[in-house]
Amino acid sequence: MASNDIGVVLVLVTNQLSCERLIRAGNDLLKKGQELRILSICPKHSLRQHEGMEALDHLLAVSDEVGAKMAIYYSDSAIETLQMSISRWKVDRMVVGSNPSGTSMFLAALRTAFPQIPITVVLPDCRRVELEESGQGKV
Amino acid sequence: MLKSGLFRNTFTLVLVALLLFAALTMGIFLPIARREFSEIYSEELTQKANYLSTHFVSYLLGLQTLDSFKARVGNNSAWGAQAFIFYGTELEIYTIAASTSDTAETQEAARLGALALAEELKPYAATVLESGVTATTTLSQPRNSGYIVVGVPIIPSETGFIVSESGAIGSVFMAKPLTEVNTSLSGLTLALLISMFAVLILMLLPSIGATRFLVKPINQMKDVSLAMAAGNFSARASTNQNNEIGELGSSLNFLAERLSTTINALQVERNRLELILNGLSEGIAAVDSNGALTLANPALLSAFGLSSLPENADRLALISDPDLWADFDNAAHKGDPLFRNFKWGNRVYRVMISPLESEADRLMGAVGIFHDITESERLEQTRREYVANVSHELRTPVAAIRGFAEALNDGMVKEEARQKYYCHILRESMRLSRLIDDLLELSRLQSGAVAFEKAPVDTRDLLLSFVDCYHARANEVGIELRLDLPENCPPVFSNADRIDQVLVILFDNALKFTPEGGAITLGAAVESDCVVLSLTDTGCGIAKDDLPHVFDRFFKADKSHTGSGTGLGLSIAREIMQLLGERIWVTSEEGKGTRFCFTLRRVQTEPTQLTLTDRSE
Repeated sequence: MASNDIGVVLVLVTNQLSCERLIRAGNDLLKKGQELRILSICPKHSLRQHEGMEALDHLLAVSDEVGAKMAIYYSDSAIETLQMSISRWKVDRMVVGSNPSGTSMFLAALRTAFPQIPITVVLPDCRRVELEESGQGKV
Repeated sequence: MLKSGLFRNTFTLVLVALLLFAALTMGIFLPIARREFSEIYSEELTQKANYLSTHFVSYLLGLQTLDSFKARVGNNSAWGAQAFIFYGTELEIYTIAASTSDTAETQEAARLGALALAEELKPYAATVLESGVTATTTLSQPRNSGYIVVGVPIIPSETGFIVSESGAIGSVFMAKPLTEVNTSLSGLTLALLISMFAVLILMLLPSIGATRFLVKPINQMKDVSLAMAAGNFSARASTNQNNEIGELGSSLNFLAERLSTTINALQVERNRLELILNGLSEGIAAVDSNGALTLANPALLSAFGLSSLPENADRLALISDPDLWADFDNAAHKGDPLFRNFKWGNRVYRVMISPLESEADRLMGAVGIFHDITESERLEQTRREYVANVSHELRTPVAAIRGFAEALNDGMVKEEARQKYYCHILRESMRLSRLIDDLLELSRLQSGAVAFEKAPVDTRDLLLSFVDCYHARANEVGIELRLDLPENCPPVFSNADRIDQVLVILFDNALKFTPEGGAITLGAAVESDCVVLSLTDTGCGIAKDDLPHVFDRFFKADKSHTGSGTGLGLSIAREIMQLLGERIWVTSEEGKGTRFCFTLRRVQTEPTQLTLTDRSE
């Protein structure tokens, strides 16, 4: 059972099999007393599409395996839903994926929206980058 | 009926209408009656005054004497009024009330009263004299209620009189006390009041009847609507009256019929939905917009150890995970569906939470479907392990055979070692063959399409034969094979070949784990309906954690999987026992030994039969 006092490592995933590495990375970053939560926010219309469901099923199975709680929200306002979720928990760290350069518009928006939360970016080669205030990554 | 507000109101209305009618009648009647009475009396007094006027002229003409005229004038009683005759403006003759019982004082008082009244009439007498027309008036007096007075001019038909400009020589006034008018009017009013009261009393019963007639169908409609509210749509209102109330009854009946049809359809739909929900293996929970639990189907209740909805729809009493319900609330308030995993004890669920929207797209709550994937996850895990185990078991002998064959093929093996290599290849091939045979056997048994012919089996012979056969093999490895057979061991109803197969598996297993110098004991215990065969070794025993898994495929207590067995023997033994309808179990104490037991049903009276277990059940 989750409590608001328990620190949460929040992993943001998409409906891609490769996001398994983010869950594994989040699990590695988990400290004693922290809880791992996986969050995926998909557009509402994708609820009736099968595309990506297999990947999400796999990610759910991986979450079960590592003992993490995973939720897939179907919402057209990703940042608002993310804010709502983050307000429910005491998020100590966020883990997200990125392209090889470690930069993207999403990461910049994420950095702006949640300046107080440390964000770890997991690159495709599984290297981890700490996202700085500028939105740039540092290995 | 009196308890009915409508009855009371309607009756009161009728009563008030009647009373109002009476009051208005009285209010209008009194002034009209008073005026009419005045006119009647005026007319009457005018006629009398004219009569006296004619006779006064006759007296003046000398046609009659004064005494004769006075006798004609008489007193008040003769005229029902007081008469005053003015010649010019001077009073000539007047009447007073005459009674034999009157005393002289009374007579005098009457005379003085008449003279006083005459004084009051003098101005009127002058007016009548001048105008020559009849005058009517009322005189108010403080001593009594006053008089109605009529004055007519005296107009002689002969000449020789000193006349006024109008032709009148005097006037006759008739004064009637208003008390007499009022008395007559009061009598009439009283009669009217008594009549109206009588009418009111007489109208009571018809009013009650009419009110009841009016209220009864409305009360009946009220009862019908209450019955409808209580769910009884067979009640019908009366439509006897051919008016708006009858039409209202018809409308109510139509409404009841339509509601009955609609509610029946809804009921059928609800029952169907309930049957579907109750029949679903997936758990379903719903909350309203306030977060209160409104639905939990039996599958969900059962999964979370409840038989009915918790008191006060307390959702935490059903599933004490606030995080899960927060997701329900989120879906109910934001309208965003979500899909999540949920672990409860050793059960794993996938939960789909969707908002409930009304036809007007208003959020009414949220519904969640709990799909228990524990079994499918376990099966998937088993499949993965099975593939991994089979691959591993196959890879080891195949790799060995390949290694030996490559060495032989390369000509790197010396002549004297070649035979040894062939032996290794043969041994690994046989191991491979055994593994494949066991896999096929297990697969065949698990498919369920295996028929075991059952027949009475002499347990004593079976066990003696087994010990006789395998005694030497045990001795070869320094282990003693013992037989613990009770006297009069009864026959069992089973399949001798399959029992033997199970015994061989257990014996092979015991041999592997029993060190040299140990013992294996084959025993039998007779119970009321069965014989329990047991095979006990003095080996290393099985760890407590491993005990539940010893019958699993490819389970090996030896974690390194270096043993000679395929890891399928005990699985095969369990499948055989299940197909025979028997039980097999194991008890063990680490470091002391292991005992495998299985039941064999005793022969009773049943004939030989063929058992075919349908595993799909």
